Amino acid sequence: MTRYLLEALNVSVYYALKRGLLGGAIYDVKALDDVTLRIEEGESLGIVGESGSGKSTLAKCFAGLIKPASGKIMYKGRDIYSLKGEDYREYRRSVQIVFQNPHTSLNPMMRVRDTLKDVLKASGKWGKDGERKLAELMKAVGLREDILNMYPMELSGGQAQRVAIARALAVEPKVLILDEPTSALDVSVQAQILELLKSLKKTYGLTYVFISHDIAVVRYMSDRIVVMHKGKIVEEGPSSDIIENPKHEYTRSLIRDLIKLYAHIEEIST
Amino acid sequence: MKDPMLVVKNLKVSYKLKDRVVRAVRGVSFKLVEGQSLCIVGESGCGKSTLGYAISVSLPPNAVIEEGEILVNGVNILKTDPVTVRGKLVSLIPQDVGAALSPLNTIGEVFADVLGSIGGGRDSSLKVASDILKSLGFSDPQRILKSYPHELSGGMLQRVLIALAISLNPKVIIADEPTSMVDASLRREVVDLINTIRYNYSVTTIIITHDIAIAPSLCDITAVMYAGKIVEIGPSKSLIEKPLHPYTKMLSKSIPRIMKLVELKPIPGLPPDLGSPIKGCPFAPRCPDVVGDLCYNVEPEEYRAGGRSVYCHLYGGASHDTISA
Amino acid sequence: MTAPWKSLLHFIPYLKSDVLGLFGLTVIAAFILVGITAPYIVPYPEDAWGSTYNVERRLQPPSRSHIFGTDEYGRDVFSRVVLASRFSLIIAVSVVTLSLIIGILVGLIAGYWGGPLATTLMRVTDMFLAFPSLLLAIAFASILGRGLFNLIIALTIAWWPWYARLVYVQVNSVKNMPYVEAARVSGLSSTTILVKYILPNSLTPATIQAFLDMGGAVLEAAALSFVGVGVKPPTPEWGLMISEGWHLIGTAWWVSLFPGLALFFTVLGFNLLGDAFREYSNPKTRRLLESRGVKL
Repeated sequence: MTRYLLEALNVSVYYALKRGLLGGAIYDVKALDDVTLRIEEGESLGIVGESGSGKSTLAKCFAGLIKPASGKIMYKGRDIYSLKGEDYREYRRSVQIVFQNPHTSLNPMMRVRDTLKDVLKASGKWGKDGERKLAELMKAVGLREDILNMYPMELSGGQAQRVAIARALAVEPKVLILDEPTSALDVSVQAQILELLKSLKKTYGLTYVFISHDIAVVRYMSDRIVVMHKGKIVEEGPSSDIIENPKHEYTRSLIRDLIKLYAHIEEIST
Repeated sequence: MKDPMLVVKNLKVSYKLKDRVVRAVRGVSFKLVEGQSLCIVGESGCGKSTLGYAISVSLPPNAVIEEGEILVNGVNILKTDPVTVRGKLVSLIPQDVGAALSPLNTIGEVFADVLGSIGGGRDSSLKVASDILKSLGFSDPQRILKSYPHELSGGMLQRVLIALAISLNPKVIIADEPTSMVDASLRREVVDLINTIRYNYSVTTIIITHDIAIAPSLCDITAVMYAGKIVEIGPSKSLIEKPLHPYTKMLSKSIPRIMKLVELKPIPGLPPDLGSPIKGCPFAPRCPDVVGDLCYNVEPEEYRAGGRSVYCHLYGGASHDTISA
Repeated sequence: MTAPWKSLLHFIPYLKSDVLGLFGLTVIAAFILVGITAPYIVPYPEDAWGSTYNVERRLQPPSRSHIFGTDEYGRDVFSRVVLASRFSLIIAVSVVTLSLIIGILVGLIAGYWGGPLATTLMRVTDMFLAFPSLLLAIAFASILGRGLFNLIIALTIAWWPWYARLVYVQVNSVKNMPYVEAARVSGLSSTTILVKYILPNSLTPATIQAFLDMGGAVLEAAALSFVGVGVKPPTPEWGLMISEGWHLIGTAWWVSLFPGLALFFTVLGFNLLGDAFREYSNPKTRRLLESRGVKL
């Protein structure tokens, strides 16, 4: 038994830019290029990179939404594409994902209650105490219960993202993959969501894969940081090392740019 | 002292919805001189975008200007034909870069249309366009003019839109959340670009953003808006480094720092519903420093000191010297 | 606020603010009412069904007893025009509904599962789309032979590919939406995802098109009957009636003119109603109307 919960082993993913007459790809772009990454149970791993760096593709590989062209995604030491029956369902439940745009990640035609109910039903957790479970979920993510009766378009960005987090928690997962969960939100709402995520991690003993283009946010959320650039991991290490002593030129430029833009707020004492 | 280029006087804008009226901007006033730049900062729903749309005469049809005036170079743009204002006196850089240009036209055709509206011929328009693009750092403007929007990257499109915005030599440019949809790595480029047009074209700029921390690198002056009003306005640098209004203080505490690991302190609660009347200070229910009933009952007046204006009862009894200290 | 699809119920109240749409609705409602009650209200029911032949009152111009005149067989044109509205409406509604159902099924299957099945289905669809739908309908109607049922089948064969395309394109974009991916990660079954997530979010464009197509269906049905491959005489059908009176247009103009006018108003009514529905489905229009105090 491996001590790693999730692993990406030599994973490559290609996107076809154009399709040929007979369906064959004519020209491929490498979204992930031979990436190996191991995630330990209970850790907070941050992935930082610009758009096109492959960080979201990697997130979707871990969530089983994109099948790598080569390489393996392992859950508890076993290839997720070889899992069958209960083993597969355990993986499916254990790894959940929260997307960037909270509004497009909720079905616009369904009330919050029905969205959550379907998820509970699918994982066999809906019973007599279903309503109580819904109430608990709402409480856990800091929402009033009347939100259950609303449609996504009636919610603010922050509320919709809390609902998306509640949906992920509904199946009692081990790992949350957070793919830019606060990039579409105001900084003040971002702070609320980040604090919520921190407290949920403590309460439920979750493992986080936190993805963002903003290295300051990633640092705030993670013990360990992986820097991605053009489909490859260019640097990896404990958060404070990466920030204080970046080795790769790309990491240095990320930090330098941020410090330049936010010089004034960086200097304020607290 | 130069004459002000942009004057906004007691502006009130509301939206008529099916069953109620939402007062999005509830009395905003400020002045900017030529080349000055202002950041309007606040959470979504505070009225900052509405204010931006009002100044760029591009309010949605259900918005009503209830009171106030907006003067650009002495012209009241609310009483002028919008066609003579948009792009020529005031222009807007839209937030959604991807949706801003028709996918069926080349960049050159768009420029020819825009510049043609002031009577420029096609060739002279393209010449002007290529000069502007060059000044914004495109090494091969001819190629850009022949491209369709989908052939350009997000960063390039943003530059093209900024070029379009300044192409008719407006006096005022408004950018709606220019840095929020772009990666941190592109953000620096956008900031540099806006600063370039500010200095090279000495145009008055207004930046609308939710990110208070970016204000000092973009603007001379920062105004913090809450519930449709400015709660604090002053020079960006000092406003960030020494915020006076409790709301400004809390906003800057909700931004993660890079070099120091500082605990974030989110602002509890939600902004007030602008569809119902507001009594007293709108921030009072979320404010950690409430000064008794005064805050809930009396709307705070302006207190000035050191180039700063703040609307908060905390400073009601204080002399001007203590504020500026 | 209600679910987007439930807002379909609010379409009629919406029409209060759309004069042309309201006019369209009134015209269509009148034709429906007349179509249902036709056998009981027309002055000459036997003439309407076409079972009579009265040599002595052939080709009489409009008069008090025959307000639209009589045709070659001495039948009351008014009675026949009124009863024909029933057949036109049945044809239009059946053709559009059947085409929409087939289109949704094909579009959904091809869009959701993809692969060689989708390629095959969509190539077949494209093949149909390559021909003008009227020509295709005429061809199938001539193979199937005359008759109301065959006419409906022929038109449906020509029409479903348009809806299949619309649904297919929509399904293709909806199936990659984050809410569908999230549903998959949550462990929902393919059936649930298809029925609750993809289907309801893929229907809007096809439904709007169906509304817009009602008038077209009435017109194409009439065209098929006009060229002699539609309903069987003596069934009262506007296209057939126009064609029967066509060679008399110089002498007995009323035989063709009145069915022609009925056809014109039905198509106009459907088109105005369809346009109103398209406007209504546009979120921008709805926001604007809300601001003017229209309750939706």
